[in-house]
Amino acid sequence: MSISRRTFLGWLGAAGAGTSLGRSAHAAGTANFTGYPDSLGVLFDATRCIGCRKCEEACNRVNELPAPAKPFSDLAVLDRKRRTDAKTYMVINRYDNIPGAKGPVYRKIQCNHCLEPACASACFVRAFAKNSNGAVTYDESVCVGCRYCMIACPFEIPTYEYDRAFTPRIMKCTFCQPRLLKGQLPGCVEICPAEALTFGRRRHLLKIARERIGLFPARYIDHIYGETEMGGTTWLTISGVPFRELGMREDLGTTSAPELTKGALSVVPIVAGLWPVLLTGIYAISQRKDRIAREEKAAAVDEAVTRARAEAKAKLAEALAKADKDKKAAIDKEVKKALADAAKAKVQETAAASAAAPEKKSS
Amino acid sequence: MTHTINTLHDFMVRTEGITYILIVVALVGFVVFWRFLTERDEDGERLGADRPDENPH
Amino acid sequence: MPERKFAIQKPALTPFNVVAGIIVVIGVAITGIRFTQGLAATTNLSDYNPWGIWIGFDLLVGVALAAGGYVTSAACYLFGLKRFHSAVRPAILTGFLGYALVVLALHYDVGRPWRLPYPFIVQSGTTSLLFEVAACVALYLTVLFIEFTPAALEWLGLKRARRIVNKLTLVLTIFGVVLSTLHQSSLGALFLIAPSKLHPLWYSPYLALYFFVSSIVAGLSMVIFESTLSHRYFHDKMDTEHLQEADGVALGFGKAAAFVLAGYFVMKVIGLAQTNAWSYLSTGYGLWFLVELLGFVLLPCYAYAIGVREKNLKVIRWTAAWTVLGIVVNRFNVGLIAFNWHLPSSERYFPHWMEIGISVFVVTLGVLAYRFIVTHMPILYAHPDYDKH
Repeated sequence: MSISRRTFLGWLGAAGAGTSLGRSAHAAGTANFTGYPDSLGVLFDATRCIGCRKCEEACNRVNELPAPAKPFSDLAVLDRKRRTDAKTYMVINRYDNIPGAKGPVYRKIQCNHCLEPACASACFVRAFAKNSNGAVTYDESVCVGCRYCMIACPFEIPTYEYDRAFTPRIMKCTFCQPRLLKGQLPGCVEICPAEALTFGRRRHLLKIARERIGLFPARYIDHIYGETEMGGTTWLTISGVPFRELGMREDLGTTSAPELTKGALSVVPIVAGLWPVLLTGIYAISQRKDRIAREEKAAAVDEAVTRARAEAKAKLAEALAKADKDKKAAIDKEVKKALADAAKAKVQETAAASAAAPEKKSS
Repeated sequence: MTHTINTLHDFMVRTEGITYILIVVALVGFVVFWRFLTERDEDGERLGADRPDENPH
Repeated sequence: MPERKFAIQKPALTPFNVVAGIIVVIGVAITGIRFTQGLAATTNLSDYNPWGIWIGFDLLVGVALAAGGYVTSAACYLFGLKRFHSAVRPAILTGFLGYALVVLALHYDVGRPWRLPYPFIVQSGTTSLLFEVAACVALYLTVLFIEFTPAALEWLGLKRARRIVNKLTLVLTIFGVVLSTLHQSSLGALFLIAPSKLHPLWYSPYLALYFFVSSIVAGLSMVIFESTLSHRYFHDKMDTEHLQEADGVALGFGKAAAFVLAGYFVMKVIGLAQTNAWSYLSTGYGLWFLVELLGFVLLPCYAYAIGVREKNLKVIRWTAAWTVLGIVVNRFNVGLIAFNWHLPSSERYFPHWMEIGISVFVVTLGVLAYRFIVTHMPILYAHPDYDKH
C-alpha cells in the first residue's frame, strides 16, 4: 500500500468522509506496516547444523575481519559459550546435554536483521538503515558512539570497538550487503556444507519452515523463531529443542522497538504544545492575583486616607463650630453684659430721676 | 509522496521529523502570539513586560 | 607536587583544597589516558554492558539533580511564590553547572565526542528518544546559561545587557520547564525500548513519568541540600534577604517535596499493579526494590512531613540529603543494577576505578566552579547597584 493512498484516506477520515470509502479502519492513521514485501532472509535449521565452523571462517574472510587467536578448524573453541564481538560478526555455539536431544545441538548467532530494527529506532543520527532487501546496515561516517543501539538490541548483537581511541565503530553482521548487491550469497550461506542455512525471500522461507515442521512434527518444535519475535526478523530459526535451550530468549514478545517508543515520543509534541499554554495561564493567574492584591491594598489605603481625612475635617469643623459657638457665647455674654449694664444704668438713671421728682409725681 | 513506506520505522522517521519542526514553530509561535495578545494591556500579564516596579532578578 | 602549586596560588592550604587538587590532577591524568588509549583502557564497558556509570551517574543522576533550576524558577516566576526569590539564583547556578558537567562527562563516554553535534547538523534520528534528550539538554543548557548571565553581567557591570536578559526571564522560565519536562521524562523513556533487559519491577510504561516526577523531588531536595551546605561554607556571602528567606524556602520546598513524594509513591505502586509485577517482590531484586520504594520514597515523604509539621529544619535538611541519595539509588537501579539483570554475574558490569575517578573529577570541577562563582558573583546576595529583587 502506498503512503499517498493511506495519507489521503487519513485526511478523508479526519474530515469525516472515510466511511464512504469503506476503508475507514485504516483511515484513522493506525497504519499497519508489514515490512518490505520482497525482503530476503535466511532460515537456520538447528537440526541440520553440524558445528563445523565453516560459516565462521567464511564470514571472517568475506568481511575481511582480523584473524582469530585459534584457527576455525579448532572445534574446542565450541566448549565455551561465545557471543559476537568487535572482531566477529557471527558465532556458532554448541549446547550439550539437552533433554530429548540425542547429541549436541548447534546454534548460529548473528544479526537477525529485524523487520523493525531496534538499533535503527534507537539511533539518534540514523546510522542504521533497513534496506529494501532486508539487510540492516550501519554507516560509521555519522556514528557518534553513544552505544544506545547496543542497549536497544534485544538480541545483543551490535558490538563496539572499545579499544580504538579515535575511530571506534559499531560492528555487526551486514547480511553481506555488498555481496547481495553483486548478486552473491552471504558468505556463511554459500559455504554451509550441511544445508543448515537456506537463503531466499522471507515469505518463502516461512513457507519452507512450516513445511518442514509439518512434514516432521516429531523432529521440530512448532515455532519459527523470528516470525514474530520483536515484530519479526528476516533471519529465522527452527529447532528440534526448545529455543531457550539454545540460549535464545523466548520472552521477547512480539512488540517491535518503534512500537515500544511510539507512545513516549508522541507525548513530546503534546507537552511542547500544552505546557506553554498551561504555564502561561498559571503565570497570568498569579500575576492577576498579585495585581488584584495590589489594587485592593491601594483601595484600602485610599479608603483609610479618605476616612482619616473626613474625620479630620469633621473634627476641624466641630472645633470650628465649637470655637464659633464659644465666640458667639462670648459675644452673647458681652452683649448680654452690655445690655445688662445698659439696663442697670437705665434703672439707676430712672431711679435717680424718680428720686429727684417724687414730689412731682405725688403732686 | 509517491514512494512506499513499508516499515513503521520509516513511517516514524517521517512523522517525527515533521513533528519536531512543528514543535519549534509552535514554541516560537506561542511567544509571538502572546505578545500580540497582550500588546495593548497597560500592565498585568504581559510576557516579558518591562515593569519598573517588579524586577524579577 | 602539583597540589603545592595549587597551594602557592591559594594561600589557604585547607584540607579541601588539597583533596580537590589531588582529584583534579588524577582526573586530568585519566582524561589523557581516555582520549589517547580509548574506552577499553579506562572503562569496564563491554558488548553486554555498553553503558556504565558515565551514563548511569553522570548523565542520569546529573540531570536529575540539576532539576532545581527549573523547579525553583517555576515556583518563583510562574507560580508567583516570590518568597522563594533568594533561592532562584543559587538553583539556576547549580542547574547550569550540573548540565554543563553532564555535557562534559558525555564527551568521555561517547566514542567520538567531536561528533556530538551531528544529530543536529548532519543527520537527525528523530525516532530515537536519545535525540529528544540530546536536543532538550543542548537547548536547556543554553537557556540555563542565559538565565545565569544576569549574575555574571552584574559582576562585570554590564547593565544594558542585564536589562535585556531580564526581559527574557518569563520566556526562558517557561521554555526551561517545557524542556525539562521533556528530557527528564525522556531519560526514563530511553529504557522503554529494552523490556527484555530491564527488570520487570523497574520496567514500566510509566518510566517517563517516574523520571519526571522524581526529578521534581530531586530538584526540591537539591535546593534544600545545597542551601544547607552554602549556609555552612558561604554564610558571610549571604545578604539579609537570603538569610531571612532561607528557612521559609526549606519549609516550603520540604512541604512540596513531601507531597510530590506521596504522589510518586502512589504512582509507583499503581505501576506494580499495571505490570502485575507483584510476584517479583519476593525475590532478591524485589527486596532491593522495596528498599528503594519504602526506604527512599516513603520514608523521606514521611520525614519531610514531620519536619514541616514541627517546623524542624534539621529534620528537613537531613531528609533532603537522604532524598538526594534516593534519587541516586533509583537512577543506578534503572541504568545499571536492574539493567541486564538476566545476565550471569560474570557478564555483569562493575565500574573501573578510572570511571569512578572521572565521575569524582567531574563533580569536583562542579564544586570548584560553584565556589568560584559564589565568592565572586552576586548569587547569594543581591548586587547593591541593582534593585532589591
